[in-house]
Amino acid sequence: MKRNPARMKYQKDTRSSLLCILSILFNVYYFISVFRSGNITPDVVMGLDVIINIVFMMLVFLTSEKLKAYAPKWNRIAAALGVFEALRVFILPLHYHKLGMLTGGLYMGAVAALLLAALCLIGAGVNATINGRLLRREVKAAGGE
Amino acid sequence: MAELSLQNLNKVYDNGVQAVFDFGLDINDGEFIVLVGPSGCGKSTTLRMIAGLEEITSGKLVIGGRDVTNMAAKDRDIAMVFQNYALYAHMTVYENMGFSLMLRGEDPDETHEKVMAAAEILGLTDQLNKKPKQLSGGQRQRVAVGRAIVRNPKVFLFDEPLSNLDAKLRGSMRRELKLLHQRLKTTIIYVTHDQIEALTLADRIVVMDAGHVQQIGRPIELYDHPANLFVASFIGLPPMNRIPMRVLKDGTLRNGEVRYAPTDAQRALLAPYSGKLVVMGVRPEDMTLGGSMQLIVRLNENLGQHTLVHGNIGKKRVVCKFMDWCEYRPGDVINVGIRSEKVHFFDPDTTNAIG
Repeated sequence: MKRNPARMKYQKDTRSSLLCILSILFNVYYFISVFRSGNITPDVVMGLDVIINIVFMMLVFLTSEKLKAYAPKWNRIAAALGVFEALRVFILPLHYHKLGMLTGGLYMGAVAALLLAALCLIGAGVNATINGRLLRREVKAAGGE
Repeated sequence: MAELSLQNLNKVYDNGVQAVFDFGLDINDGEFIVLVGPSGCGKSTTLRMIAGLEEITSGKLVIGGRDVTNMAAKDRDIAMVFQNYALYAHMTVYENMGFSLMLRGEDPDETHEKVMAAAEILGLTDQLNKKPKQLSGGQRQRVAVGRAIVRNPKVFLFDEPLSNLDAKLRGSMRRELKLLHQRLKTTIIYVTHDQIEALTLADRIVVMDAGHVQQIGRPIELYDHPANLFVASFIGLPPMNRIPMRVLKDGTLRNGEVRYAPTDAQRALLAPYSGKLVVMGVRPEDMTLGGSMQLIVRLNENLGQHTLVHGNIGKKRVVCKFMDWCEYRPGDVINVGIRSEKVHFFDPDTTNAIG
């Protein structure tokens, strides 16, 4: 992956931002695939997951905008959100899988979607970290702040 | 190479209005051509036909040896700078300048090099991360020029790019454009209604009026040898004094109190007009103090290094430009004369220059 620090001074980090947006799309797929299962009986865990989902997607969108502008520290937030997303496999999907309400392809699809979303976020964090370091070095070399 | 050949271009709109009549011009590579004329004369329409933004009704356009008459604008390898800049408000200066290259699929690093080079030329390096709304008018215009430069086109087209700028900025941008042309050596076609821009920038000027070409020539040719009354009046500030004069039997010219004794060469030119009217054209700066005619002053305008004196010779209003600080008052009577070698004559029927 070719990176040009001189270009970074004038261009947004769209790659990191797009990875965040992609994670939101995988998250939406996860959400839909859970509800496509006609066996699901809504309970407290589902209610909690819905709230987590909404807050999560808002946070990820904010992260995507911050990463676009090379904002410091948000690369770590992106990675942390990615880890959290991966851990969500053990909340709703596993809960309903144990209850026999989410099985087979739908279960695998939901888990895959969560893991892919997690991967995108961690990737965004890593990419933003590398870009951020390169950019700061470039700015320092040019005598900037 | 970027020679252009405009062959008998005509533009007729759907409602039957003809905006351009039989426009013909051969432009050499690296030449700076200015199309000048009053509003509605067809200069912008001609430019837009060259750009491909207007369909050519009839005629042929050749750029760099290629017939581009029916070619799409994007394929003509030209770049255009508009009067209102036409910048993308949501993009930074860097993004505005690099956008066309990005659309062409150029390598991002090469795009970066070209944008930085253009920014360096135009003094925009510190503005690259700003949005257009954060820039002054002159800076926005430079971004528009930079956006054209990065494309490295065969021909630059400028459509009144300085019209929206204040007078001082217009002057400095004019100089920058001149220097840019010297640096880039690219063919430029520039449209303006401002004769000062035309005279200072052009290698050759095309004067247009009502869709017709009036004269094509170097600035000095248009200034010293206008082809007709329109060019004579349009080029030069203040406009040329135009005085109808009758050619008398003895070869002299007269209109009331205005009298002129032509030189031998001028007499020979005016011989066919004996007893008839001609229009005598004298530029204000070619009126001299101390001649045989009496000027009654109406207005004295001091402009620093010269003075414009408006007055009447008999009933005829004239403007004189004297390279001195004068302080005449309305009603003052001064003697004025005319520099013989600088007098122009025009046929009053055809309006063409005599000789």
